[in-house]
Amino acid sequence: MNQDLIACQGLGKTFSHTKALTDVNLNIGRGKLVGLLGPNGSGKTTLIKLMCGLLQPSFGSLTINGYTPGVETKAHVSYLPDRMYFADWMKTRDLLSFFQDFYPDFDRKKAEDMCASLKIQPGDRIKSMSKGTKEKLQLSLAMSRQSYLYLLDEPIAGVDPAARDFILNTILTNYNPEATVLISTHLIGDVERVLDEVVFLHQGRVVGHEAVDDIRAREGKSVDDVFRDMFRANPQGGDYYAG
Amino acid sequence: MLAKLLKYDFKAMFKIFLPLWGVLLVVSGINRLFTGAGLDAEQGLGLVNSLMVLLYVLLIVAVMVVTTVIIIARFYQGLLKDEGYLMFTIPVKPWQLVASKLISAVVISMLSVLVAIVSVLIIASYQGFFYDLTQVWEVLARMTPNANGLAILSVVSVFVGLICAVSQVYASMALGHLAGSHRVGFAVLAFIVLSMAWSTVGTVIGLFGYPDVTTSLTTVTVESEAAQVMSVFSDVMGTALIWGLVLDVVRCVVHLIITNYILSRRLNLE
Repeated sequence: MNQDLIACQGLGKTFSHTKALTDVNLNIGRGKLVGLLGPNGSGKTTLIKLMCGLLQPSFGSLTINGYTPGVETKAHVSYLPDRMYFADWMKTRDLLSFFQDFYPDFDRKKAEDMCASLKIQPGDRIKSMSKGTKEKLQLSLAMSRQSYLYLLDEPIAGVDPAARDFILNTILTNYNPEATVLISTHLIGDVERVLDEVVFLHQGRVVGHEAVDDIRAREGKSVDDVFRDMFRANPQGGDYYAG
Repeated sequence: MLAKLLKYDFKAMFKIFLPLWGVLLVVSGINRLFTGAGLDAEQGLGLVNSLMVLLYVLLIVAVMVVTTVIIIARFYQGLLKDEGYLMFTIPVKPWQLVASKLISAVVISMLSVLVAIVSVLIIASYQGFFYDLTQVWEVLARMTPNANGLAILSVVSVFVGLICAVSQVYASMALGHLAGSHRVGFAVLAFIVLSMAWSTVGTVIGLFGYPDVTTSLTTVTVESEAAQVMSVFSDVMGTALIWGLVLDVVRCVVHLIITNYILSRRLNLE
């Protein structure tokens, strides 16, 4: 259990002729809140999809807790995609049973309590819920698992500030302290206060991986400001953080 | 895990099919009442009667169309669109996902056919219907050598043919998934290409595989003794069914290997 939770070596992903990720070497330990930051199209979602096994690497290797993503890791990695995955026919109750049936680490009681606090009834049809409620339900389900890794892809994009607070609080109060939470976002200001480390992605490459406190101490400004300077300076890329 | 997957696939399917099957059976029952009561146009029920027959025919067509559409949609929407984000991150192997979709599709198709047969029986059966049916079968069995064997072979062929058709649709959707865009269009194209490829293979096997068919057909025309004709018919049918069955099994295996490979190694959800 000493090895890093996430280990990427020379990891790359190509889609037909587009390089989505190039030569990613990244190690992330346990019990950390990590921000995966980068502008749109920088490869955040691709990296997360590789980690949860929705994509296969084109180059290099990736292990989660020592395993290549597969059945073994999927049982212990909680993934929140950047879209709705609900089947039309399901009621909340069906979805809770689905999670209970397939994920050994799912805490149904916890999920039911979270639903109750969101005023979601077990008999409610998911199809007829508002977009915001669906997002909160999806997050509640992801956070009701006692996983060793939570992969949250853009959990706060497209929701109002009150919902944003709810989401961040849900993440902070529910994750298992031994676990690592990887949050991808381009809304850094909102998550900055909760992060331990940040990984900067730019044009499919990791251009920085540091503790948030170190960045603040060295640069004398917030990670949000560092990010803005980094990616505003040169739209073509090149003169960024590491350079 | 497969059992759990099947539980949810059947639950989703039954939500659609149980009401549909129920309505079909009720409408056949109503049609039966009309026929049984011997009501005719003079009694003013002619129009209702005709409408009921029309409704029945439409429902039969609907059951067949809905079965086909749902089989395609359950795979496409359930695995290759947004729902795939959930299905491919639960701890099961991709082949189990495919197997669950395939088994539920085949069972639902067979149940749809069964319900359609029952509905016909509700309308058309009469006292002693099953007795007459056994009589017909006995006559056929006496005339045709190996009648039981042929019957079993035919049923197995239909079953394997069904698996083959469904798996070809799956393989086509998987192949369409390889395209970056216009995936539905490419899936249709893949289906057409697969169909053409298999029909070519079938023809080639037909030419070289069982040449006795041609000889047999000549015999049929030359010696037209009834008993001999039936004996030759039985042989030809048997050979054709066995060859067809072998080819269909090969097709199923190829389709499922393609589907499983693409879903395991080349998955790229939008």
